[in-house]
Amino acid sequence: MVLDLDACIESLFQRQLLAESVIKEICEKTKELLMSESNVVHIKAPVTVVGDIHGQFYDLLEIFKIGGYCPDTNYLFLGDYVDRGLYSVETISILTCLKLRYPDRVQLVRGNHESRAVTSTYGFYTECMKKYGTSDVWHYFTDLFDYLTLSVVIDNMIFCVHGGLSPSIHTIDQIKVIDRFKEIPHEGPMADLVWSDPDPGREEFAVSPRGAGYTFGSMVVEKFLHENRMDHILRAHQLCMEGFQVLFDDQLSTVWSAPNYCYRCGNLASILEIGVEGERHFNVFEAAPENERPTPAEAQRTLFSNGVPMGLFNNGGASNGAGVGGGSGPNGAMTFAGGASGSNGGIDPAQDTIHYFL
Amino acid sequence: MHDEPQVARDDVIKGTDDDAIISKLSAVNLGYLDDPFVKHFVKRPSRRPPLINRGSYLRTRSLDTFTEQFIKTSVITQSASTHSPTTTATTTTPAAVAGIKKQIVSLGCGSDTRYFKFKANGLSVHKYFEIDFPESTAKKAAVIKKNKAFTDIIGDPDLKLGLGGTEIYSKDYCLLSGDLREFTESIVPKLKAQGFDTSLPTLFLSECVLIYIQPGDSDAIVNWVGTNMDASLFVVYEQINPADAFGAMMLRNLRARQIELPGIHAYPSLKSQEERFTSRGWQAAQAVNMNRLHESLSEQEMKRISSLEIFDEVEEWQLLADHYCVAWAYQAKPQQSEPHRAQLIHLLANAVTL
Repeated sequence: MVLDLDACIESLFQRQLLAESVIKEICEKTKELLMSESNVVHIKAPVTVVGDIHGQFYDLLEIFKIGGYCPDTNYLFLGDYVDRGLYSVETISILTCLKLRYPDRVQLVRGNHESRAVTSTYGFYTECMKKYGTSDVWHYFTDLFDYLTLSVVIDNMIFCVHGGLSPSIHTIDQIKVIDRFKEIPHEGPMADLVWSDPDPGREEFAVSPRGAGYTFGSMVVEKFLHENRMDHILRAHQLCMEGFQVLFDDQLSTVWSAPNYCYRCGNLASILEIGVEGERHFNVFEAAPENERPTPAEAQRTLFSNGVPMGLFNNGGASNGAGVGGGSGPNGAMTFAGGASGSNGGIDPAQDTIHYFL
Repeated sequence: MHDEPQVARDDVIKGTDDDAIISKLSAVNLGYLDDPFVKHFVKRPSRRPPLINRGSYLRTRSLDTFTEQFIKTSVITQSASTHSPTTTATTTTPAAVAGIKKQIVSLGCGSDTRYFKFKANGLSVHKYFEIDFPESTAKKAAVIKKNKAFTDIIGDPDLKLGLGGTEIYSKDYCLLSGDLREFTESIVPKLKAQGFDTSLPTLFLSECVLIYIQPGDSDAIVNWVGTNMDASLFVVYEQINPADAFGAMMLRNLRARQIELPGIHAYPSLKSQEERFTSRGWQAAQAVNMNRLHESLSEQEMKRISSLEIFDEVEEWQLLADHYCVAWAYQAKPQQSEPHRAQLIHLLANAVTL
């Protein structure tokens, strides 16, 4: 089959899912492309930097509306494409296609959610099962995640990473020698880069409340920038009510691109537009108006690009019976009931209802 | 026609119990909570996201802690003691306690399993009353009657069902049906008919209940308790902070499910939750949000729950936890003899130490 990427991208903009076989091929090809990328990719401005998206497909469309479409705008995405939102599959599918189609115009950095362990808990696995009936698509994408780069440097001045800094990493060269082609470890430099958070109340490293990575303070930031002759750290990973946050005397920024995160937080989002001279502008936006997106219930109905409606795989009750039993489950420790009630029953999609304590 | 929206709303209020019990079971199944009774109330289990599991755990644990402390704290009256006439407020086991009889009233109990869980662990009070709408109590009574696990705990061969299967009467446990909006007129008489004694120190629990009724009706309950009970402790768990971005979104999202929170605008803050009681003559009141309760977990306990699941929602958790509080208040009537009153106040105050 000849892969028509433009057609794929067009379908995805209509929120039509690609066939499983197409996803497989796109992931294979993108892995080949990413394989040759360093753990530190160097790019030049102008570029628009995007923070966490978390499956909020309609907000990604909003980002393209305000930031410009590929390839007219160069984009750097800082990870966390999947989990929590209703359309992780569509989101990662379109970003993968755009990367494959415009490899020099789109950079994809790995976030802590680009991981088998995390996507098993936070929704992407469940969404793949619901939309495709088997875990194959989840496998294709999580295998692809192993190839995503860990960091990007813009104009040799701005260090971009999903989470933050590591006590094991003082120089850019140390990042380059990491073997990144694997599942994110529980600890070590690779884990730190995707899990760490800045702490403006501190100077050094400290234990992180997330249970992975560290928090790092002002002295750490200054030292890193000085040592590597750069002037700014740009990262995502942390929810910002105003869409962005600037810390440490403008030495570090957080960009957050999922407005009304989880349809619950009521926050703003932003994208960071970096101009040719390196000037930085946070373009703040709200969630796309509600009348321009389907309700969570409507989102259950998803179309394939051949127009055949889906929505048949609710709670794993797939009709094709291929591998739904959980044998190809992420870590073998979970059972997917497919309608039967195991000790934990079916996995709650975690996205259908916006949960509170009632 | 005027009744229709109210009936529909009542169905929605009853439905919140379904949501809560599924969340509780999710937390139980993952190891956050230990409760073999919850599963009997859930037909289709569902796994909740980690931050919901953590919140369900925290809410149950916090109210359990207060209830346990209320049960365990002993009061030795002057007449009963020959050695030391002063109050002993210790956490001795019930068997060793030569103290005063106590009661617990669970308002809007839904499928709550606290009575069973506690009694299975040797913790019980003189009388435990549960109250909810007849449709809810009927379902609960059916589950209880059908399962030996429950009737064994009640352990009363004279256990009776009543009112068309919507009520249960037994020695130390009563399940009563009624509408909390008619507390004084219809629920109080039922309580008294089942041996409810206004002279005994009583814990009143409202776990996400009063928020769903008009403030006038919840005030009526607080007023009645404050006026008629000799010594009582009122513990409320519910939503607060409707006005910030998260709170406004919460009300919107709940409204989309036809869930309204009429109480939230009357008591929207920790301070107003305290004043809810102190303005009505209660001795003392305190309200804390769920973040505070989260922080008061021991290091060991924090480590334990952190090991159960990946938890990558710190900021969102803090936002959510800011919008829930536990508020408590106690009072003991001045008409009693002074050492006795002081002992009662000591008992009540000790129940709510964090």
